[in-house]
Amino acid sequence: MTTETIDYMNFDRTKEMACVPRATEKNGAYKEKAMSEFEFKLIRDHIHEYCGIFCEDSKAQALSMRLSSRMMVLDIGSFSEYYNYLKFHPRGMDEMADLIPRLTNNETYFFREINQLSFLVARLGEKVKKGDTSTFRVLSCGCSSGEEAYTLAIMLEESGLYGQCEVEITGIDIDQKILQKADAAEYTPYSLRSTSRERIEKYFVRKGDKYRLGERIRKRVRTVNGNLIDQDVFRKFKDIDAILCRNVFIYFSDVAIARAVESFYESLSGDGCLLLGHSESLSRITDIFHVERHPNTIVYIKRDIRDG
Amino acid sequence: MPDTTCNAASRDSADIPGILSAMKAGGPRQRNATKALLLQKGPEKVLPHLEAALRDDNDADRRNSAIEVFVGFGADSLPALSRLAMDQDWEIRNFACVMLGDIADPASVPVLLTALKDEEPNVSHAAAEALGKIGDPSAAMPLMEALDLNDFWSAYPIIAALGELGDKRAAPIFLGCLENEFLAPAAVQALGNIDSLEGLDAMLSIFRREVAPLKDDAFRAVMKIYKKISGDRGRAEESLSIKEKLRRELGGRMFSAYLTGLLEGIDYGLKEDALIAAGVLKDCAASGKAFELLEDEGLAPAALEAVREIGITALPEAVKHLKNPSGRVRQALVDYLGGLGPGPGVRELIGMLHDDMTMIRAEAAIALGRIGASEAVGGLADALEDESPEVQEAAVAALSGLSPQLVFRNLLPYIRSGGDPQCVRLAAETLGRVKAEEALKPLGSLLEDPREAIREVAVKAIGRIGGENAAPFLMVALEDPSRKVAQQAVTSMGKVSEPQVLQRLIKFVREKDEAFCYYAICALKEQGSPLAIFSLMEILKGSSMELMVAALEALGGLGRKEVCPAVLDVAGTDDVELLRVSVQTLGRLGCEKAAPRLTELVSHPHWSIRASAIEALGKIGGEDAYGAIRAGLNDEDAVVRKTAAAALAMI
Repeated sequence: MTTETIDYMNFDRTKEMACVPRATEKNGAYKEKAMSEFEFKLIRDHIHEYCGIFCEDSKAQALSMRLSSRMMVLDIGSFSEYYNYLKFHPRGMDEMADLIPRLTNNETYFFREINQLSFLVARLGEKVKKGDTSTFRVLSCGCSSGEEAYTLAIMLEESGLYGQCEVEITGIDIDQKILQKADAAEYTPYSLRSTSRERIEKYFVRKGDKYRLGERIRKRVRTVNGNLIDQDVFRKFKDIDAILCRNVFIYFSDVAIARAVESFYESLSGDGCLLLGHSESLSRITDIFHVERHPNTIVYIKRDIRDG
Repeated sequence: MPDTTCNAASRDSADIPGILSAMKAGGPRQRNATKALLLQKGPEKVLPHLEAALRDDNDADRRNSAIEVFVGFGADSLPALSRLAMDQDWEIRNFACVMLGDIADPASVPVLLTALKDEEPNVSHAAAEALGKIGDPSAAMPLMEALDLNDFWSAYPIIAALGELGDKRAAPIFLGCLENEFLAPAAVQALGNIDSLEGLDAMLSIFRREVAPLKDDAFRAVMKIYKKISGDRGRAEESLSIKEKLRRELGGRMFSAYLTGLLEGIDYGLKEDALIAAGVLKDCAASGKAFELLEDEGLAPAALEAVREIGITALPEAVKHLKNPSGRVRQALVDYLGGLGPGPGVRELIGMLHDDMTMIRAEAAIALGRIGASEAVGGLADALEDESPEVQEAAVAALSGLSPQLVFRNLLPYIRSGGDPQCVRLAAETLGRVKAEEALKPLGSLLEDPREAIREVAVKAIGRIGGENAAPFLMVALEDPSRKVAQQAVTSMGKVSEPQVLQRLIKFVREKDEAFCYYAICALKEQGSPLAIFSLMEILKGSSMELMVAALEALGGLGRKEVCPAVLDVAGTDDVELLRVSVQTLGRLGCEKAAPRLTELVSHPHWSIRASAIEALGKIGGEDAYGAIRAGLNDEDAVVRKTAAAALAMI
């Protein structure tokens, strides 16, 4: 089974700032609209300000497609009107909440890129070996429907560490609807394509054509609705031992990444660590973390700023 | 950790020869870092050392490093290299020509033309190659004049160079070389760069004679010519005739087998060409391989184009890949099947509404909507129950393109009070979109549903259907205990042009009804009735920003210039968002008296205000506008500059 990651926004067929409508109208049927560069910039800047997601110029057509379907639902005729709807309509914020998840690829799966999760399990193991049984806190940022957080919970379960210290795993996502899915913890076979049959049988219960995660693992993860660039969200989290933020920053501008990472820094414990996706890096953005290379993974360790 | 060799070298900045020697040690990363260090020191300091290294026969590595750095200096190296191209030592002259070719600066053409006549064949060879790399057309005639077909060693690079230049005058030379066993490969490649029909005929003739390895070169040349002509919109007719020629000359089993062989081979460039050829020739036998190559990120676009061109005869192969584990392939299949239009492929597309991936299900629904496939109505109705909002919306959109009666018949069972809320919601929305008048009554019955979300969507759908028959239902919905539903009723009134509805909307605005004013303004905008003007203008005199923005949009839509003074007043604000909308409204209304204010705003700090002001001035026109818009051409913001260019075109 393939384990490819599909970046929805990268499935553009054109790299140009295309502003040419494609389909034709037919009795109000699907009609993709033309978005001017002015409208693109207004909307892009608004989205960026709201949640840090930054749409490159090459994504203009993909964004136009996403918005067109929302505009159709709302009966809005132009992108300028849609922008004004987002800014001024009494339900503009609700619409933002509906729109944002469509700009990124929410599709993830269990046991994806487990090297980093194995690192965390090992880190907790070392901590316990040294006699430190204080609560181990992990944040899964951009947790989507929960696969990453639950995978970590399963791995910790299998390591036997749950019996030896408290572990808190919290999944954070801006999309309230996807968090409901995470809480329900019901998954299609596609989400389990990298999960062994033994694990499926052990941890999941068949429910129609889906699989529901058993309560034992489900209760180990809690979810929180939050915006990663909202510093108020992270004020609630202190002494965090590890933050997972994988394949989220690929959608963010450098400014937004810097803002999010600052919040992570404040929330992390003294030797807390940050794990990003394999194609992501903080080297251009900030030096408040130092990089540690481990087998098959890179970890960002909180640097005490007194070290210089 | 920084490399210690590099560290040592950087401490001793005078040790350029040392640094040059250090380049050869270590891997590519260190080599590049060392080269960068040398380039930083500047040509004046470094070039003399490079020349010395070039002359050192005892250290080939150091010499190679010197060559790299020479090329790295680019145009700064030209004076030195031009001198070295006339050196006594033929090897130095040779190196100089090679480097000039790598730098590829047209300024070195005269020097190379002189070197072309060098008595040392290696030097003239290098000069010819360099001229080919530079690609300056002025070299074409001298190259042709220097050509001696009896001297293979010098003729080959000259023909190759002329090929790079693509000068059509050289075509007879290339054609003449085709029978020369040694020069034919260069001539074949060269003809690929000259899109002449004689060249094409010659290539086809070579291809038919199946002289390997020329056959592959000839094929490449044919495809190069085809791509060049077909890529030029101004040569559409020529492109068509070449297509037909290729189909005539190359259609057939033998060529098909050749294409399949290329598609299974390892040459990436030939694979791509083979895909293009398969499309041009509508070679169904190659379609299986083409579908497999959809998995390759680099070849996927060519593969998709090929199967699109092959069309329906590729469908049996397409069907084999419907369960391909690669999402990329399945997505391309949706594209292909959608392109087949009504009839064939629709059944397969309906099947893809059940794909594992959300994106593919959504695209399948969109494709079915574009086709307008009425046989898909059942599958699309089922897709309303998809877990993904994107798929649901795509299904709604697709159904909206089908006949209202057909959709109504299929969706009526979903319109049951007490039914699954998601399905009811989507079905109601769809019925609204297709404007199925017969759905008004069943939708009206949903106004009794205990669930707010259902009542809300029913009101929306009733509004979409519109017409005088919709008005009574909307008036009932205004009294709904849920504010959300009542607000939707107000919004929906925008689509019903009945006098009592209009009066009610104006009342909401006049009274600045907190719950309904905003929605009423939006509805009045949609109605477009001039009777609403005065109420809307009152809003501009002092209300919340949201109401003022909505009123401005509505007034802009009504297009009545008597509101200009009121809008111009609002344009005195400092608030960026309010200012932007008022400026845009002034432009829509064509308020000439706004020109001075708009001219001021062309230097506003915010890009959106500058662009809006320029656009508005473009719509208003006038001599004063011209100067202000022109200033926008030099704006720091690209969007402002483009808006200025467009606005100038309007004046």
